[in-house]
Amino acid sequence: MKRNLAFLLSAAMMVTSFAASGATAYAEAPEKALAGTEITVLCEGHASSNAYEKLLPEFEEATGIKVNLEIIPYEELPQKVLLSFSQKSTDYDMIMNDSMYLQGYIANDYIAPIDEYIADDTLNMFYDKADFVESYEKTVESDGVTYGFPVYGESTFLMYRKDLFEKYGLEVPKTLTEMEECAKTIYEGENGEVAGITLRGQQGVHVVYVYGAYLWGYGGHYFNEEGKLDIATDEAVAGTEAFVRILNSYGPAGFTNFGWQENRLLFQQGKAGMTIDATVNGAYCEDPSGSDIVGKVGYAPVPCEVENAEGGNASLTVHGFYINNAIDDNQKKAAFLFGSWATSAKTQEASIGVEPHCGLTSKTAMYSDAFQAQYGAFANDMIEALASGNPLYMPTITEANEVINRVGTALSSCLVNGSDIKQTLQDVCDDVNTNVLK
Amino acid sequence: MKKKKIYRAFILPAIITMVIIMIIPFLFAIYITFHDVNLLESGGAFFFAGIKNFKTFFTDKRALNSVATSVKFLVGALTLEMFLGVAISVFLDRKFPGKGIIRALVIIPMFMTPVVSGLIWRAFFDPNAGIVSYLFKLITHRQLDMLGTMSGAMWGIIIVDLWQWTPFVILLVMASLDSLPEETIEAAKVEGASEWQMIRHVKIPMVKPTIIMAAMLRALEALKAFDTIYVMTKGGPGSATETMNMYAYTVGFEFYRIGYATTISFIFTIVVSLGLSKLLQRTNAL
Repeated sequence: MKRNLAFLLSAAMMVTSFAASGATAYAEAPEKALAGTEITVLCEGHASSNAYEKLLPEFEEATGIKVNLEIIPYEELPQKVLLSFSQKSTDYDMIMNDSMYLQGYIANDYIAPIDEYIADDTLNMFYDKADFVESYEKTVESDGVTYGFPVYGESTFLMYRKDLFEKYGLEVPKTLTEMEECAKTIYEGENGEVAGITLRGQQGVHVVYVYGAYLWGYGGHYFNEEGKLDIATDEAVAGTEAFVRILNSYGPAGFTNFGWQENRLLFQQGKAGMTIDATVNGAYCEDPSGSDIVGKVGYAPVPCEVENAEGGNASLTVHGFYINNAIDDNQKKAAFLFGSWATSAKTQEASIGVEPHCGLTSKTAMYSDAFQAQYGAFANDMIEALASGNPLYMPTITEANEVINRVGTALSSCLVNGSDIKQTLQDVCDDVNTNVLK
Repeated sequence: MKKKKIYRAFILPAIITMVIIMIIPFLFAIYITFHDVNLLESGGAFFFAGIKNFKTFFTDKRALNSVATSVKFLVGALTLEMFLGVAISVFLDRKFPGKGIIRALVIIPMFMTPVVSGLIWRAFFDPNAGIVSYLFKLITHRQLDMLGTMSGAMWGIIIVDLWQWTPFVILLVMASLDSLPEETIEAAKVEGASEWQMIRHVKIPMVKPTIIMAAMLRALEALKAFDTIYVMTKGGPGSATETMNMYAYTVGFEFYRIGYATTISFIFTIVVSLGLSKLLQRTNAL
């Protein structure tokens, strides 16, 4: 009996001490409240995702939450997310994607609002809304409700080889015609060994991404006032002709199969005089571990042909983290903690040193000494490009993917066989307006 | 009677499995073809659409173009594979040193997964660093951008299919040649048949059923080709290599129009099944 009593007493003491220590730990470290939870996050192949992968042990140690990062190429990400969401699957607790999908996700109840967690003091220790670049933060909101975290923001700018420009006495081009002249001079001066310019030409989203510089730059637009595809106008045709001409005359061999990766690598290898692409490429150009042109690249706004263009001819895209609405509340809280940690000023600043990640969304990180030290060569040009980026640069309607694919296929045909450009553009407008935007 | 019941009990699991993995999905696919299912609208809910998806297919220029592309790819790949496969088999059907090694080497490409072979050949065809482009430039002093032109891209995917699947034809035809009765061959020799006459009038007619079977299997596989095309060209440039499979994938997983994508796949399945069963009937009649 005495032994039993002693056992019960010691058991009670143990339980009390565990409870007390747990309560103390919770009071001291509320981020540990979800320790033992496991979440899976679907990320796109991007410098930010690679940085999170490397910095993840810090988060796991701080919170005790196990995070499985699944990183896949962006081309495959939207369909994977949609298939998963439409099946109400709980495979992914959080996903990364372009904010252009936000309205579709909200309309279908695919993602969870996060305001409740933002207001929860036991969860919001990493979150600081005021620190996000305001225009980025707005892209993850709808009707005053917050749905996600801005992970990275990008625009486009012109990257040119300062050494080649100096060699041939060239001025930084302000118009697309001047840019073609520069491309011609470099291409001919280097006997075709160095391409005058390299741009993405692969059908689909890649060619459309760069084509925007010409479409908007010549005064064109994607949609008319009735919301119909309208890229067979005189302005759009002139822009497309210039786009096809510059690549076919002074572009590199194989440009029709160039996506982001191929285009970036060719320029980094010093095989082209200029390129227009995402601002993140600046970080790759200045990365000594993979670039042959460190310190030789100049950065400038995307040249624009007309002064009264309807919209800017530089892009503005923001990709964010969104929480799957099909998962349970505990999982949502863990996902919230990870999202807020990943986009916190501290993590973003740390990411500068581990990956060529320059599309930061935290103002503290963006204006930090570390950022200036690493990306000083183009930091100001990038911030300028972001400020003037056109949010409608790419189609942003619900059917955007289909429109982009069909326009991209038509552009690819124009680039390859030099078919009647006006007719090809008219055909794709008819096709899209009849079959897609009914 | 009791025995029959026991037999049925043993067959039942196989039937149930077949119903679950074949019949139910097929019937469900038919059901989807009569519905509008869009993952971007109403959370992927089903809306009855009658025969709208079928009508769309026959008025969709890109869909019809994909049918033509599939046929082009089929004819190009199949003709060359059968011709080369039979020719190489006949050439290898003799005694020479190292025959075993050569036979083993010839069939290696067949064991490679299509994605890997597609990636390898994409690198070979790279106009800036690929070995094929390099050799072409060395010989002709001209730049080759195989996958960057409409006709070049089609030839590119045919060459890869040829490289990977001609060994399959070789394997089947050689096995058939090996099993030919010695007496017939000897009799032809005694009659004074030349090497060519032996091939033309004795060996090939005797292995004809195998050749037809190989052609049918290859036709089926060529029509189903997807992975190699996806990694090499993604159906481009333009829609030069967009086969029906590729287009169905694009409609389903880029446009998220699951109803229409299923209809394209369904039409594809029906046409291929009818075509092959017709061919099989003719083969049996031979």
